[in-house]
Amino acid sequence: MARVTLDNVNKIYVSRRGNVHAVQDMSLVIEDGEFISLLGPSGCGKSSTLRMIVGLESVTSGEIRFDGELVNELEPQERNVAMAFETYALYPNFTIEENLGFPLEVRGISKQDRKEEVHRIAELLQIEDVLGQKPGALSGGQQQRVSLGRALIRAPAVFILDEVMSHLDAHLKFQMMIELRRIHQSLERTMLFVTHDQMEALALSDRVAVMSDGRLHQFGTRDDLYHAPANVFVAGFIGEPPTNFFTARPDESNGELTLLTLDGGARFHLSAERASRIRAHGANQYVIGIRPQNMSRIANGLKTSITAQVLLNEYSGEHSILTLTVGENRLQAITASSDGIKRDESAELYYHPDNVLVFDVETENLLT
Amino acid sequence: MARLEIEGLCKGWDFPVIDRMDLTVEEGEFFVVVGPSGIGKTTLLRLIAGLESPNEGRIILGGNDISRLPPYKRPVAMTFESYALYPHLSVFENIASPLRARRLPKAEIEQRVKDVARLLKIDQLLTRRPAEVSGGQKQRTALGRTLVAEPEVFLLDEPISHLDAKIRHELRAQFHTLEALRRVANVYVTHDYAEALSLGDRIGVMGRGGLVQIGSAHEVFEKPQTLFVAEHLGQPSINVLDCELTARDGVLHARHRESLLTVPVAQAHVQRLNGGNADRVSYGIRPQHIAVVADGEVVRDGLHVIDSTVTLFEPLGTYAILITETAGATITALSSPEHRYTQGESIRLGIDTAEAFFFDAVNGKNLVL
Repeated sequence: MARVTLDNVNKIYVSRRGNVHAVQDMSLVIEDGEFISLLGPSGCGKSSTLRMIVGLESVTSGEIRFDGELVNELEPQERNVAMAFETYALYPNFTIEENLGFPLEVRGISKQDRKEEVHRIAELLQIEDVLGQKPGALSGGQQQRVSLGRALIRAPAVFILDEVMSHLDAHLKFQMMIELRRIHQSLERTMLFVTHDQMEALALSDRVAVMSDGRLHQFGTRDDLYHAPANVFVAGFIGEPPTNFFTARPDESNGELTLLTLDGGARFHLSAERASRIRAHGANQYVIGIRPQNMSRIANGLKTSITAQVLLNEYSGEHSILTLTVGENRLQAITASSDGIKRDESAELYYHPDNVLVFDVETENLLT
Repeated sequence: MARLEIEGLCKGWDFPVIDRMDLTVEEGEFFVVVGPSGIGKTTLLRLIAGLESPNEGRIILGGNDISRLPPYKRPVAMTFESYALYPHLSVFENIASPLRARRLPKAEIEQRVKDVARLLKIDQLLTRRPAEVSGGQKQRTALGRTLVAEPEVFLLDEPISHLDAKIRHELRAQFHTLEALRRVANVYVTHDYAEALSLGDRIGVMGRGGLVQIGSAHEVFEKPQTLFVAEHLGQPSINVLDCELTARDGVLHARHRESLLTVPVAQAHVQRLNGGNADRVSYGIRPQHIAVVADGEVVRDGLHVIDSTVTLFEPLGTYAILITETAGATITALSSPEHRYTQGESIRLGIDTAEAFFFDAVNGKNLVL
């Protein structure tokens, strides 16, 4: 168990073709027993960050601490960190029992104790019935569990999962997520999960650190990321379908401040709080963000709406996704799967003014 | 004319992967094959492309049997999950490669590559190498290379599953609107059911040995012919309970064999079930048809309300997953992500009984179609 602290951590890769600043001034506190995710598109610096925590990569500047103790100079094996990989990395010629017991064998733990520990972990991961088999005979999901088990068996202070679910298909992934959540609840280990898949990150972790271009944009809970995304990048990256964005200008009429898209195609009403914030801010353009989930074909007591033309109605089982045009802009909205609205028909989309997010055009930061 | 016909296709190694498959994909049709990984979706594409040879059966394109033609003589183009771009060539040269192979005149190659690049909005990137463009742009380059060849059949193997949500939705819209795809027969393979439902003119659900059900998105999702189809489409998966059908107070009920959960059978289903004279069924109900009933909320007709306890609450994007213990059974429901539930909390769940499916306990056939 450990509290992990990153304080102004930087990673610069030096090469002949120029230096790459892979991680920039990253500061983060992971509480003891917390389950967090590092989330971002490929090349965002999440893997470099993780490799520095594990000790596979040196820290260019800044400090990494486990429970207050500086670990920058410690070798990976001295850090008590275990890692499960995307590729499973199992020994193909060993049985599952031998694969699981290997980290203990290396530490010189007796055969009897090893056996007990292996069975305890196998029970937790529900792979007891395959202990005698070799990795090749197992399904992808089972191999992934063995790989997790081998990392868990070392009873690490920090447990790191690197893209461990990318190779699983949707159903296995789903089961695995629920299983990992259960494992975390029963072990209460500090867990760090690295992924490019926002659904996995949101489902698994207590808090998510969203990164891109080597920078940490926001570190927060699902609700923080949804309702108060720090900037345009976070708002666009978190959520599926992605957030709709419009560039708009303030328009004052009848004592109400609204935001009108630049082509005049749609007018958005704002919460009183945000309107006064914009008045105080006084720029002549803003970026509006509104999630497809927050645009509804049913008024349900809402009085604010925009009118848009349907381009596509994509049925996807539980619900349908509408792609529409309003003026020169495109947007998406979620509707009921029974909604038969078709291309070129006009749709009234209702929204709550509280769900209209407003960002600064220059800095792209949320206006709070 | 390029209608793709598959007749009695067989392919297997140690066991049959594709067993006597028949399928017709019309010109301009977008046919999506969805199924679990390892079931043989890619094998099907490789057979059509000529990268595998069938054990039996014929592949007919526009009336001509192409089963014995080598891949390069088939008017078929395929994109791969891994993009398979040439890393040392520019985006332009990657797209141009099939035309260069055919030794077309330089001016024509240039024109065709530029047209395709403009269509896919990668015309600004033509001089870059694959390593210098994003994942979505790599995918578009791979698509461009396939489109530029002007094939009669277009095979797409998981082209967008590995991309970020943002790019995935952008490309999904592109598949809907690309006119070029409306001139060829398209076979698109994915493991993502939502993608399949949204893109396919028709969808083929693949199971052991071949396509288990073929139909429109609404048909395969709302009228699954088998339990396998119902379980494969939808996330979280449909709740499946091993049940006995018994009459209680003159009303037919489904009684779970492993718990105390008993749910009345909707009137519309009763007649169909009696005809089947099965007393043991797999009762299927999708999580989205089970909702939390708030205190004081008026319970509408057809909703069967039961007391439950929350085991896990997992807020995702559009919805939250609620795993509950209901009368001793584990039931998954969907709820709003904006209302938090805590582990151990007592709630009331309303099951929309008219939305239930009843599958034969032995062969998995849907009994209430």
